[in-house]
Amino acid sequence: MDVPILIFWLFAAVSILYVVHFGLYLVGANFYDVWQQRRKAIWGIRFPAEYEAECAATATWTSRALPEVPGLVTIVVAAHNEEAAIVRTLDSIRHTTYRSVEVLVADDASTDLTGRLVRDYQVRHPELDLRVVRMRTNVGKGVALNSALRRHGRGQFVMTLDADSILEPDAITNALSYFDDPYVAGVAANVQILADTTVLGLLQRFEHMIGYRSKKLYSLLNCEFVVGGVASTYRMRVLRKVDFYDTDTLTEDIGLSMKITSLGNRRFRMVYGADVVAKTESVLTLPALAKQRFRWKYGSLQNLIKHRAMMLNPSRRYTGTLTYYRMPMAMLSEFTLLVSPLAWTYAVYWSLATQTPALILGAYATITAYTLLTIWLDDNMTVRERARLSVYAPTAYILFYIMDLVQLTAALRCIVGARGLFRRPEINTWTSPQRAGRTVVVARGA
Amino acid sequence: MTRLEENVTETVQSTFGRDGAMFEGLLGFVAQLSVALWSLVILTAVIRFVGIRVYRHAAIRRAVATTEPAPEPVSAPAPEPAPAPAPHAVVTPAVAASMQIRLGGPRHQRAEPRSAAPLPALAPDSVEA
Repeated sequence: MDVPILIFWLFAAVSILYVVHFGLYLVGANFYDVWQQRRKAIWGIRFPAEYEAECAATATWTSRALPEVPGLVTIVVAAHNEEAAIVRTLDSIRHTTYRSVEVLVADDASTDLTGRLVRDYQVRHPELDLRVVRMRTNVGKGVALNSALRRHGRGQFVMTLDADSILEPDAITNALSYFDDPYVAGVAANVQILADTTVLGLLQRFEHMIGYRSKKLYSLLNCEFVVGGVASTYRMRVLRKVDFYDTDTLTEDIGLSMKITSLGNRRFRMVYGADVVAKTESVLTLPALAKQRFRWKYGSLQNLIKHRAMMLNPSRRYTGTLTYYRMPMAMLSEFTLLVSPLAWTYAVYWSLATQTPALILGAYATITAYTLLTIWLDDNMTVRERARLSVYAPTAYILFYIMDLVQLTAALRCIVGARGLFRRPEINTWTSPQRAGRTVVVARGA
Repeated sequence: MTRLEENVTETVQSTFGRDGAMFEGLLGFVAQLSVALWSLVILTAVIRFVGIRVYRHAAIRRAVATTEPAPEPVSAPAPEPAPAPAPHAVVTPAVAASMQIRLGGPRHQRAEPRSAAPLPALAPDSVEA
């Protein structure tokens, strides 16, 4: 076997694939923005006809449940030792423009002041329908959410929220507007990073912006299946149908969205709501970032393997874009990540050997232009914010290289722990990462 | 000895020469592809701005039309009052088809008329039914 030729073609394939993908993301995002404006101009609820097969709006389930209150949104906040951030999160919920909400805080046996702060908030703000569902022992995020939703959730819609995240005032109203379509089962939010004053914060800000921009294409092609845990909204009846969260993967949120998608993404659609804005804290240190990415990658792989039957599935329940494009690409991108640094080193070597810096410069210019375009076409930012991020855009290329290395480390750790990808034990504990707000609390106390 | 040295030199040259040509070929192809894709992106960006403008104007026109009061009839006789529709009444077309219903109320309070009530809470195959 001619190894240099093999490496060359591998590099060629990865390069062409990524260049085409970048182009598709941008083109898709432009059309998504037009679709979004059209949707806002001619909104209205569309009901399925009587003879139509079961869809998201008419989903049925097989277990006893509390009766739904039409129009009510159940916001469920999973919390485990979140004393630094929980009050800010509840404040953001209280200030939303949508009034018909109930808030369930799933307190997973916190050992700090989380429970006391929430109960204090209940007393101070009796107008907010707030309840605490406390677990006796640390049972894990998925189990805690399931427990709160099964026993106490009465809403027609469910919004999940992390305790370190905040909602924009019109986020719920905007999220509900997507459910005018009876086939929409869930809406992914546009999650932004709260503070990006550090290099890591900026890196995560750019990554979130570009990552969520790619969701526009997937949403337009109806092949989105990854919906995170921050400010995601679902129909309660769909959650009841799939029996809420599974607890055998590290990322229960992706597991839930994939489980719903596996019902058939033609009638149980996942869409991305660019105007459903929520903000979350960035990870503060490089080891914490590496740990977070490992968890995400490992969980994603677990879910991809668990729901592998959807891949290349010719069933009419699924769109071709999901089974023949999105899912194979999701799996492939995990492997291309392994060869990406190798291929890039090869490219740098050849650029120097053949004295053709065009490749390096071209790649740098492409990434910078892509970042700038993402910043300028973002409707949820002020002009000042756009100008500030535009100044930092030339550093995006180097920042993404750092992120590539973090992701590579995570991928290698996944290979080491490959056994758990197939034989998935129940997840029954979780730890809260260090919050930026925690420093503030300590400083106040000092 | 001399022949061997010549062989080694030729092999190295041909290998690097071949790879170099392939590399430059790939570079040229990717550059052309990038130019084509960027052109497409710019074209769709123009479509985006035009499309957003058109739909935004349409939304404003519609909003103005719905907020403006209808002109009062000056001398026409008062028409027979039509029977008022029942609240949340939906006129179902004779042929079953998907229909679109505009909500009259504000968007910060929402209740779908057919949310849960007309549909069974338990599926027919429920073991708990």
